[in-house]
Amino acid sequence: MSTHGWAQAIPPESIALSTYDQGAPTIAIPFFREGTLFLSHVKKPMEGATTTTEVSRRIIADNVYRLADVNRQTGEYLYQTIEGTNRESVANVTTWLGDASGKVTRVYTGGGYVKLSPGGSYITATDENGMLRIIDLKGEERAVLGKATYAIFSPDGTRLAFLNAIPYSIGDAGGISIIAIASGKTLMTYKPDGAEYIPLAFSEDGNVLYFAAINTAALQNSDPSNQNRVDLYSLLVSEGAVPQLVTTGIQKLPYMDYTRVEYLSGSRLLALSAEDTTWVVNTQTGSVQTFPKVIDVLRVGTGNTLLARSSDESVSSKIWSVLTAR
Amino acid sequence: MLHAICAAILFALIGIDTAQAATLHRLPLAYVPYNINAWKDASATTGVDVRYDNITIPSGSFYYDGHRGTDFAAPYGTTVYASARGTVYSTNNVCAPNGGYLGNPCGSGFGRFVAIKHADNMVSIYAHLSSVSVFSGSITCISGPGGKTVGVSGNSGSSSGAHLHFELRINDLSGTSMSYDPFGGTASTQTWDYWYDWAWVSDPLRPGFNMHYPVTTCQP
Repeated sequence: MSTHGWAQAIPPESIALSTYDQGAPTIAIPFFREGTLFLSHVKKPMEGATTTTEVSRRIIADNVYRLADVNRQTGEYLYQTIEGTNRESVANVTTWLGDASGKVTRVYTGGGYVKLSPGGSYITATDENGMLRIIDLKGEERAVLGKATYAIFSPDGTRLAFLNAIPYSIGDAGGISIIAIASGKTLMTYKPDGAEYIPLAFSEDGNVLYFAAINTAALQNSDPSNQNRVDLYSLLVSEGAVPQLVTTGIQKLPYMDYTRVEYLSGSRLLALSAEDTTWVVNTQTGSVQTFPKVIDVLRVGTGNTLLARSSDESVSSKIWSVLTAR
Repeated sequence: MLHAICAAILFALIGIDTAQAATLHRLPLAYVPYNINAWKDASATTGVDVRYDNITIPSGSFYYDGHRGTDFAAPYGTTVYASARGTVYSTNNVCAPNGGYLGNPCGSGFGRFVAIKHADNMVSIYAHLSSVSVFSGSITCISGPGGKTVGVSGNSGSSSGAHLHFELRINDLSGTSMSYDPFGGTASTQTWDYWYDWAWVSDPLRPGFNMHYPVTTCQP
């Protein structure tokens, strides 16, 4: 078992109750549209309700490049701004941390794909040279994990999964690694043969990793009209474990990459959003529900009630709705 | 054309058959002098060549470290053409067409892309597309404002906005395969362009400078 480059010990985080469980009548939800970051306060829908109300909405920042991550536990979020005309450089990308009150602080400049830890103490970022780092909120480096990207935290903040990838390199990716954050110890590495793959999310208990994959043979000589060729797999976090296909039969997904991925706590539902559509995958049954014109969802209450954000600009005053997933 | 003739004379002088030595490329877009980031040459009105490759010009917004291609600021939805004849080598058409962000590993960062292998073993790569039009077989090169369509520009993979990443890489797409600068000339480490023909045009990013820019003529 290898360990990675830990500059300082990374103590365990305390994980707060979710903002939904804290009893407030509204939920603060950041969202991004056309370069502007907004913060909505949305009334919690009653169980079984089909509608909700947006109580308030304010602009947090303009000239935003991306809303990078939202921590549903703490209500905090990461967004990024970018300077210059480069379209492939992270050197001039700055990451900012915002909270549910709208307060923002600068965290780090020079990192690409960023994620906020569940306790809100650390971020992960991939730098200009493709090196994945764990950084605290003062911008101090805590660990360097090598050429990697697409890091995701387990919900309890103890594990990190990432894709060992050399940027702009096809055919020599090093697989998905899962490490214990406190020690840097590698818990497992998985590398499927002849496939492209991206880690997506951990299960609620952190013992299962979900990832998207496509057989590279399916990329070649393929019928371009058949867009849905991506499968979702589950992988037990245990060295030597064999992935299980979640999306069986014809239930496939169109893309590998998603702008928002949420494992909906308590529901075994995985919500994947890209462009102007959200797909909700039932990780037990493998069924895939498609929600057109929905670009963000979060689970509210104890059932499968989802708060959904519409991409439809014509109904901008009513962008939040309530859906039920199977 | 003059540049290509000079390259041919140079190859002839050193005993290399131009056709076998190097496949030369056309602009993979209709002729518009788009902003270019990374790997380009520019000349001030004084005629002094300036190179944007992190050697001549220090860190700034005109190029970036570790970048292996030339980025044309083509808007989302711009038709992309084959730069030279060859055979489809690899494609990817499963990333979100406008879902790019920096660090997105889809298509190993290329997003939706087409790679074409040429007679000189060089691979031309057209990356961050919104859609791919060719998946296999031989590819022709057609001169002029149109051409042989390989896809449409987009913002997929590791990209912060719509553009076309064009790259020439030897042999394959692995991390160890070397990328080549298509811009030759006095500011380059190589004496000839991989562009079949080019002209000096006004640089949109650097007022008062002209940039070395390819045209849409295919190598015969």
